[in-house]
Amino acid sequence: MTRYLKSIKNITITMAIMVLANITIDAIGQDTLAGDYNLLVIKSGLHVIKETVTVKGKLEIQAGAKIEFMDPGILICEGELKMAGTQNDNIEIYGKPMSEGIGIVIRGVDNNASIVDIKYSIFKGLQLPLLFDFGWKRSSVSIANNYFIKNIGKTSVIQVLNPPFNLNIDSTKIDFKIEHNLFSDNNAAVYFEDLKSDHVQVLITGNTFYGNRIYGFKNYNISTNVLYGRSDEVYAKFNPFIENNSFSFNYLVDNITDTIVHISNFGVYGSSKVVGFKHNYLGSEIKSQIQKGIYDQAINYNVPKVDFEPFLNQPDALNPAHVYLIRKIDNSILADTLFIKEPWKGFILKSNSEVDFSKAVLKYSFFKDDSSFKKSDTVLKYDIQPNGLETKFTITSNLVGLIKAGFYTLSKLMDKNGAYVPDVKLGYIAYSNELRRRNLITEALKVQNVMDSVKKQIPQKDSIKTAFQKIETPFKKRFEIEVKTGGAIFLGTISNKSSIFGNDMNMLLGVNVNYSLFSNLSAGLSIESFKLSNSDNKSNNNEQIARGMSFSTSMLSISPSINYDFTDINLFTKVKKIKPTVGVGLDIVSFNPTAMYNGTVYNLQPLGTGGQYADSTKKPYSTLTFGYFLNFKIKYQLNISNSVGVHMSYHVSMSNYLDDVGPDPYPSIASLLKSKIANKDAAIYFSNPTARNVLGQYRNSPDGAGDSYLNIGVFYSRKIFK
Amino acid sequence: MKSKFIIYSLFFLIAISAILSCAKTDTIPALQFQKQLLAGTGKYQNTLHSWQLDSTKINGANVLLTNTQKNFKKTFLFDGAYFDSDNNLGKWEITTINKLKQTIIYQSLNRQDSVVYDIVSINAAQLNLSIKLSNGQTAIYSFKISN
Repeated sequence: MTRYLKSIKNITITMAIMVLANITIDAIGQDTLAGDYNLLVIKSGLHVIKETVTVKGKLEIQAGAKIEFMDPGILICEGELKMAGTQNDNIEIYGKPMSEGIGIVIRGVDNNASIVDIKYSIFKGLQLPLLFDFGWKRSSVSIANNYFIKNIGKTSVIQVLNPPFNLNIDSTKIDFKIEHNLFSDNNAAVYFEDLKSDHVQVLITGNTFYGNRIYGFKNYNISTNVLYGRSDEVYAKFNPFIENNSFSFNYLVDNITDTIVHISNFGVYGSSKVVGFKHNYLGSEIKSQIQKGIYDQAINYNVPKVDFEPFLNQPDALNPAHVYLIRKIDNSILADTLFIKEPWKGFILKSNSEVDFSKAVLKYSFFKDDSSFKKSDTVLKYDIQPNGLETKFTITSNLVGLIKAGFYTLSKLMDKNGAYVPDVKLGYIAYSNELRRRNLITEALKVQNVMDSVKKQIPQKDSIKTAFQKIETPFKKRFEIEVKTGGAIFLGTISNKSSIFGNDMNMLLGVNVNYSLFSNLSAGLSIESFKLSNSDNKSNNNEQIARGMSFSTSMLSISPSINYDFTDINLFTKVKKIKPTVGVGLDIVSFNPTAMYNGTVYNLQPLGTGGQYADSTKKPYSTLTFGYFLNFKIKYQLNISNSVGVHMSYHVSMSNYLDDVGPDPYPSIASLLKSKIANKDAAIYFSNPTARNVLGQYRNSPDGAGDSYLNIGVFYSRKIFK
Repeated sequence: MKSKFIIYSLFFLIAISAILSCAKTDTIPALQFQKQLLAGTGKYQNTLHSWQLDSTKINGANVLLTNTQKNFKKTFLFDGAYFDSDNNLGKWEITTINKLKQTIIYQSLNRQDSVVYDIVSINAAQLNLSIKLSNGQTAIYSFKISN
């Protein structure tokens, strides 16, 4: 019994601890992290952060953990942060492609002697990988052996704002160390609000800043450097220690033009006289060249002088591996702004430590021609001749005739431990300038086109002359051909008057040629073939139902028209793609009403169903007639030549016999029998299909309606000549 | 790109729906048509047809009709009912083309009889019925429409 009680007690205590402390067990093995945690341990495996996750106590991220940040995912750490990756088992913190999350924020004061320790972690594709928010405080910070690569945010890669300011002498300081990290292919800088401070002692050493693109504007300034911050004379007990770093191929990129403007390595401002920046590799062995990538007193006399001499002529071997020097195959200097116009035979790369090129892929990306944006990539073959830390590449692929403006990329490089080494790009600056040049030309042409279009509009709407403005378009270009299909609905004597779509609809096919007369006026000629049919049985009128007539006629019409376009016919802009048109026209129509009697189709006109052959005073009606119509179109212009749209036209016929039913009295049966009609049975039937008593009535009664029809459908039109 | 796809789809759908909605021609079978000529379609004011006796031939020879005979009318209702001017009631049916079967209850004789006529011809105005008489002669009755 005692043993059971002990077990129950242990279980109860365990549950109580779990509930009260809200400890990490919930998070372990959980894919999506959300909400607040007192403590959190993120173990090896995939985790997702889609929203704000706050850890009030210690946050531990273990080796092998992969955390995907989706926008607006952010991880706020208010206590200790321990990211314990290992050389062989990194932690990966990355943004979901196309929906990149923010990153990790260190926030608040933690007086429990807690630390921030981040090692062997990869921060990739994030908006702001690491932010030490204003008023943060920990006993120390160590960011070592990490990879900050391809982060997309343009604010900062690491941003360190000030801890709480204390006028009283505070003997505690924060050791802030950034050591042996690789910063590569990022879009932003490492920023310290105060590099020199009473509260933070900054040490930045052994890092590689390689191929970062700092976004700004064309003017080079303090903040457009891959590492920058303030250095003041007061409240500045601790000088920053920034040594043994390598700064290679870091550039300021103009936000607007997306072109490389300037080398951008280090910038400083504040009231200090001098900031130490010695023993760093700064991308060159030439002092004047180095000076270009440092924003200091040499550029602006209000800012401190950066004391960068002596500088290193090559990066330290302990820095993350990278290629720091590119030379031509004859070992001559290769300007980073070189415009590649002819195939290279090869090149020489120098790295600070051993780089594994065994899986390297050399690609040439180039424009296919001299003006368009058509781009092509080709993978090149090469031979390698290693010579210590220098490697000679001889390109064996034949690029003769293929070389256009482009750049080489050498990717899939590794260091001796298999870790990431930044890609090497050759000729990229000139390529991006060329891309910009082509963009500018395209933009200029677009603006010119819009200007031309605007000019053609001539917005003096109060003048009737402007609506019919003469156009300068050549004769051939004024033609537009249109094919159309849809349905035709008869609305005459034999029809349902109360519901248009309660009538028969028959297929319509047609072709139309349009000719632009003026800016808003065009003439058209249509040929349409369609059928009309209907039956009194479709009517809601009892008198019509009792009449019981039906018919079907093939129609062939030739219709000239004149149309008013609400927008300029020849104007093509993206904002005015929808173009309505109204018009009127004349119809020349051939028709031939038919109907079925006892399984046989009869032409009704020769039967004289209105007594035309039975009464000598009457004549048979003509099967060719005139008419007039009103049409309406809405055209959607796909491009300058092609359009699609919907059309609707209402036609009134001058003949009342499209359905064979005109204003004739019902003929007597006796007169039909006496006539010379070939098919008397059919004539008798069609003259009065229900055989009802119709004495004194007209065949088109009860309403005596004239004949009309409605054509509706869709069309495709194209300008014949461009 | 998306808007172009929508435009094309809409265009295509309208074209297809226009074609599919086109009227189809309905052909009335000959048997049905003959029934309609005889008794109407059943639509408004076309629910019955009355046929008035016009002439009679026995073995090809015209028979002189009395006024009463000339006023004799057969009325066929579209639903198969029948009555005539002699106050006889009955039914009619055409199960085979040109064969009109009538079942008539003769009010005066209080007798029911069945008779099958051959339809010699029928149109919207004229009906010719033929029957073999009990004496072996062939009678042809011509009726005209009398609605």
